[in-house]
Amino acid sequence: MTRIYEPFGGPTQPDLRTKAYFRTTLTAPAEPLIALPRTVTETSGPVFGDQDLCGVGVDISNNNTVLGSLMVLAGQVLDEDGRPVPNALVEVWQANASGKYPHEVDSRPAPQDPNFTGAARLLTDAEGRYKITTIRPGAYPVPNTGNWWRPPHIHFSLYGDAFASRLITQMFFPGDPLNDLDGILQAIPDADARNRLIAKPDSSLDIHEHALGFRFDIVLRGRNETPMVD
Amino acid sequence: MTKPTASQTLGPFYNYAFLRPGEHDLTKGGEHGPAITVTGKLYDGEGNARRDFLMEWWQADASGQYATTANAPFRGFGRCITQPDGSFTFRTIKPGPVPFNAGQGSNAWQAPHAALGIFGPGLMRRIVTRIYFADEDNSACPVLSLVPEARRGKLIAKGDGSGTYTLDIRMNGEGETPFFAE
Ligand SMILES: [Fe+2]
Repeated sequence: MTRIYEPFGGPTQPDLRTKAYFRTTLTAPAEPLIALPRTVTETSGPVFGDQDLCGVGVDISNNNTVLGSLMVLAGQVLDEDGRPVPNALVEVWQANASGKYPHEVDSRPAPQDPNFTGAARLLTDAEGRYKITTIRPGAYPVPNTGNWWRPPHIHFSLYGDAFASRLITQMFFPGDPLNDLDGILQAIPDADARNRLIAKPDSSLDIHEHALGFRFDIVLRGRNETPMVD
Repeated sequence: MTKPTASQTLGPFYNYAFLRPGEHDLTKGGEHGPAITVTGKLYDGEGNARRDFLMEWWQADASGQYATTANAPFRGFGRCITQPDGSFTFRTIKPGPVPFNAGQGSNAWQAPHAALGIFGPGLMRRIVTRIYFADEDNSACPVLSLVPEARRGKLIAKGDGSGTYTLDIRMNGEGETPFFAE
């Protein structure tokens, strides 16, 4: 059975043109987006295998050598029809405990951590689940914005099994006072949708007296064809 | 039915987490047809060339089939990150025509094309466009015909006769590239 998906957008997604995030004015298309019925181009998509992981693992804590508060982060990837998405490519990246990325573009003089590579890469299991070990990242300032500090966050890139089921997002931490001040998180108009980007503490994921467990579930766009509307 | 998770910007500090060596080259791993190069520059609303944007490319093989396994001979997927001068380059083969909506009673075919997704700092969501080829018959493509005629040319890469196709992409402003709703 096929269904018609609502167009991507609305209050549960950030607008392409977002006042709170100054850079969007030059990159958001001004012309209306052209409605396109889903064709085989959109309902097919790249399939990834172990060779695409290139040896990047699921342990950002690098065998407990990275400085910071250790955490286990796990969740399930579903599609908007509620079906688990197995074999989704999940790419994760984050700053270190002092809010510094291991990337040459990050020129802020915060300390690097020699054991920190800052990335994880995996394929979801048969139930769409993932699990990584990492450290809590630090906040960092956005250059040339006055006093805007990004709250601690972890970047997620996901590819489900269709070109249409592609998502890049960020995960935040519960209770952080910077969350309410963040132009990027607050660019999502709907409060429930913002809350779904905030991980939940989950003691069932704890490693006893070692690492704190958090859960973050992700919903990708559905994979079906859109029927023609007559 | 659950709402999809909200998108957030790619941000500036991601290259190390993403790019696999040679990922812009879809021809690696075998001969699948004559290799072509598709290249261009990415511009913003002020005409500035923009670096560090992530582009993702998805296409069918020469016979119009999309890959369905990770070890398909031609996988059809590529990525590149725009260079300091805003340029991007993919090495690939010409895709074949693909059906439009065969399951829904349409006999139409889409002209050879690649789907292109763009992420970057300043983009809160992916923007999606397509690349067609000037030396193919694009006159009856049911997707191109959805694009206002005056703007269709912005989706069609021009060949130099020796396998290099060029198309610039403008995200905003004068001469803006057509983008599709998702
Ligand atoms: Fe970040």
